[in-house]
Amino acid sequence: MGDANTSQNDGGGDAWARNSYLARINYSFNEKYMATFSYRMDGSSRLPTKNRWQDYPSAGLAWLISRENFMQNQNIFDMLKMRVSYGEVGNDQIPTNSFTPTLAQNMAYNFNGSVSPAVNGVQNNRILDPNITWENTQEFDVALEFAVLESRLTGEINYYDKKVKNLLADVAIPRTVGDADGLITTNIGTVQNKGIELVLNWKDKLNDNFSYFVNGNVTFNHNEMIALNGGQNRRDGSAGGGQGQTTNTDNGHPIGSFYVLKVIGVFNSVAEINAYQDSEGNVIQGNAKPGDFKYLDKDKDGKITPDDCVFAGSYQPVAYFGLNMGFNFKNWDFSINFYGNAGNEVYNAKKGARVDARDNVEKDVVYNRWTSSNHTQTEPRANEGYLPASTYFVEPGDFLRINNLTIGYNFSTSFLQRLHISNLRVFATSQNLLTLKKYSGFTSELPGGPLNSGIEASAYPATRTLAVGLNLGF
Amino acid sequence: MKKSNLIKLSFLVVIILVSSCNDFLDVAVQGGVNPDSDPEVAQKLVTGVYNSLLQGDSWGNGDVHGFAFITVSSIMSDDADKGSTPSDQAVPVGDLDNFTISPTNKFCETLWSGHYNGIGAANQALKALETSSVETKDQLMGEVRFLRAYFYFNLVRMFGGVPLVLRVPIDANDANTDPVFQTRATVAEVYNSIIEDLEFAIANLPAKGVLEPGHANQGAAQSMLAKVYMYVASIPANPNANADWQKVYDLTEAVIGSTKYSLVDDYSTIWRQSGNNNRESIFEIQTGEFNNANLNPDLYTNCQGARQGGVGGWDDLGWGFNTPSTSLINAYESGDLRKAGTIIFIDNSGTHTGTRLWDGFRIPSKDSVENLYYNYKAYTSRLLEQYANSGDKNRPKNIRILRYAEVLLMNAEAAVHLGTGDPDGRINLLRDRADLPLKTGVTIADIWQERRVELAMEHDRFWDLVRQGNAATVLHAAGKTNFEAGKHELLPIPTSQILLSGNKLVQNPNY
Repeated sequence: MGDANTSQNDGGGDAWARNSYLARINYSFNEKYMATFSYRMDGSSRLPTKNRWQDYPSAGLAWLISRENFMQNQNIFDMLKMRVSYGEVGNDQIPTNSFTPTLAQNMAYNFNGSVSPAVNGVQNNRILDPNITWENTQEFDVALEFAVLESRLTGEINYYDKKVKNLLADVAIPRTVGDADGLITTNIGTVQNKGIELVLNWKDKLNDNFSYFVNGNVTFNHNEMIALNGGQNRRDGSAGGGQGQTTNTDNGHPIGSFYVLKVIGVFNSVAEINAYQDSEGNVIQGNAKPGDFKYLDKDKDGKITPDDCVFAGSYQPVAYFGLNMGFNFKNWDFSINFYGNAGNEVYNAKKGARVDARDNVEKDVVYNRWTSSNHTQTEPRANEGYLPASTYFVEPGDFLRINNLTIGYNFSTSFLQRLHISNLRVFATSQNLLTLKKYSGFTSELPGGPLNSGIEASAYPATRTLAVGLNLGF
Repeated sequence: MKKSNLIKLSFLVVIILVSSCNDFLDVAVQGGVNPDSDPEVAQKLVTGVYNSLLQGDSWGNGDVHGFAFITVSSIMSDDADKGSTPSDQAVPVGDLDNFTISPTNKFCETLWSGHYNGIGAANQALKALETSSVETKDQLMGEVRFLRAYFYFNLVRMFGGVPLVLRVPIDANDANTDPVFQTRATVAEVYNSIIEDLEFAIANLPAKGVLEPGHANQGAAQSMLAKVYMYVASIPANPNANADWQKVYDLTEAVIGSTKYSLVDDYSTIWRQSGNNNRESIFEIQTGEFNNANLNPDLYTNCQGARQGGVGGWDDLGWGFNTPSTSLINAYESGDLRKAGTIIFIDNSGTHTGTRLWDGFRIPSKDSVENLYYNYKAYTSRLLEQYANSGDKNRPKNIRILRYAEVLLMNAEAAVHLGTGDPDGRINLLRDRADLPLKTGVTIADIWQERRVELAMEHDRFWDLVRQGNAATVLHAAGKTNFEAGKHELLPIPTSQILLSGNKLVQNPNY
């Protein structure tokens, strides 16, 4: 505890407030035409007074086509419904003091160190955005729902167009401004997600002993940064290991796109290094040694610089999907669940971070490395130092995972009554039984904010669980 | 069926809170102090600027006097080797030591961040002082501008011309768009700003003895400005070199003439706790205790402490980096007392007597120790010195930035350039203390030799070599053959910062 005169206790707290008004009108005509209108006003203490209040209207219209008279004489659709909706919602989930200047405490100094106690000091070391405002999502949907074959097959097809305006994110700012962590919370711009979502559900009961179901869904999504506030692109995605930022969020590209040097091969000889020249005959990578990567000189200035970076995909998938299947047969039940995504990229920063010659490296880096006798064009020579951020570290993020598999057996009631118990089920279940992926790292499902997701720096592999269990009820 | 039954209308209005809404949403920040709510904020911000001298987050958000600073000021020079085990910190320390430096080197990045954190703290303090009614306003501004000058002096020596930020950004947009934050000023512009800050400090700071030790004072500002002019005068083809050397001479004469400073008798005691803020000290980084914990740059002593190796078996003093080189050891004339005050020699005689330090602590012989030499000036005594947490190997150590001996050396160098003064007398004060024969007719080369041994391991050598124009010759002779003239005099601008500037920040030559 120390001396009461010189000791100081530290602590923290968080208090904020939200004030909302909500009005909603539901209207239904003959259960055929339905409309919902709502209007809400949200106020948040996390935003400066001038930007505190925001209005969020929404409207939804639905038409149950299968109730129309002209649909009564057909026997294809058991249900057919069309929905159109538009809505806006807000997001203020940022740290409470994002616009309020606060002082960093306990920035003390010992004047005449060994004799006097330290003098307490403060620093004003957070650069803030005083104009920060609500993140505003505007979503437009059109959907068709249906049920056919005596409702055994149901489904939905949905087109959506979602624009997130004034997206809230932590962005890196130059260190020269004197911000303690080099990050600022601000509204960076508008990002659009649009696409088509398909859902099909099949379920059937063949007899009293056997029933089964199959549910599948797939979404094709297009992600694009369509307007940057101030027009300035945002570099982010610090990969550690001294590689600097690996992502670039710019108009016309998916948010947080990887932006790195492009590897176009490996130099096999000094002759090849000397032959790699710009139009004026300057050797572009004069410091390279055989076995080093050859990088694209995009701007053709005869040097490899950050200006030569190219867009190399993003963590945003082109498609994601899921599949659930299962059946009940007599006392047995079985279910399996898959999910995955396709068309995205991940950045293997773990492979890039070499801080010490004693660090572990991937098997491929050793056994498939370039040597004078192995002229691979995909792995460089043995190298202790850092490699710059490049397409070498960008890998496909596609994966398919068996997320859950369960088999169970329910003991029959007649058997159980003799034991005076009401139910007994034994089961075996597995989480993450199998993942099929192209990525060479631990997992292509990675954390991160919108501007820097998909970078594997220190992620742990997903755990696989195998369990057997018993449910007993009296 | 009646039509009214066909229409179902529900109407719902929910009002969650019906209070005066804006008052409700004015929530005070919890546990934080608003800059406007504290009348003493300006003074506290000034202390905060001093605190930023203590940054030592070498792999993280900022380093001013931590491991990264030690690496670029000392390990890169011919006075010290990387130390520790050969592969330990091969990146980033080994790369700096061997001049295989990449622009993504983490230590270069944290030195950049740390110094700009300090400059940011200084600019914030100056902004608060402008509107403050505190009586000592001018003196406080003088202290802050002294510190800002020191941060820029380190930056210009490390990186060359850097963005010259002398104000607080208004907001994020300002920070991202005003070229002042993104583009490099020239070396001359940075030096002019440093000189302006130090001249203000000289005019507004009291002489030594008015403020507590540790505060910048007039003597510190004069000595710092003399050192700055010495660097400016040494810039090749400087047409005003003579005038600049005259400034060095006049400023050091003023410090000497103030009679507020003098050499202590025993060189080896300067870096002990008992030598903190002694009569030779002009400006030193203060360390000590705060909230019952050590308050000091992280890793400064820990990374330089003697490291166990071989058979081990003792509780060692640290990681064993920044070990004095054989080049430095050979630089001492025989009988120079400073040698034993600077270097801990590990017993390698085979007699296993070990090395007894000034406080009685015994370091075992070489078969239990990783390296042969360690920096005595970074040794802290657990036995005879007081620390809040003496069990922590990272014990506080005041870092001597300017001391009277250097003022004498600068005065002598300027005197030789100008053909005036008493360079022999200045140098002989130091030689006499070191128990060496006195010299007459000292040359620049004599003074540089004296500088090297007098200020050995004091974070001056690498930049001094660059200033003297000797870096390539001397470093090649010391076996550092990777050093490329025209490139390695400066560190690379961190890649991350070039990217954040939208490539407006231009890389140093040949990186």
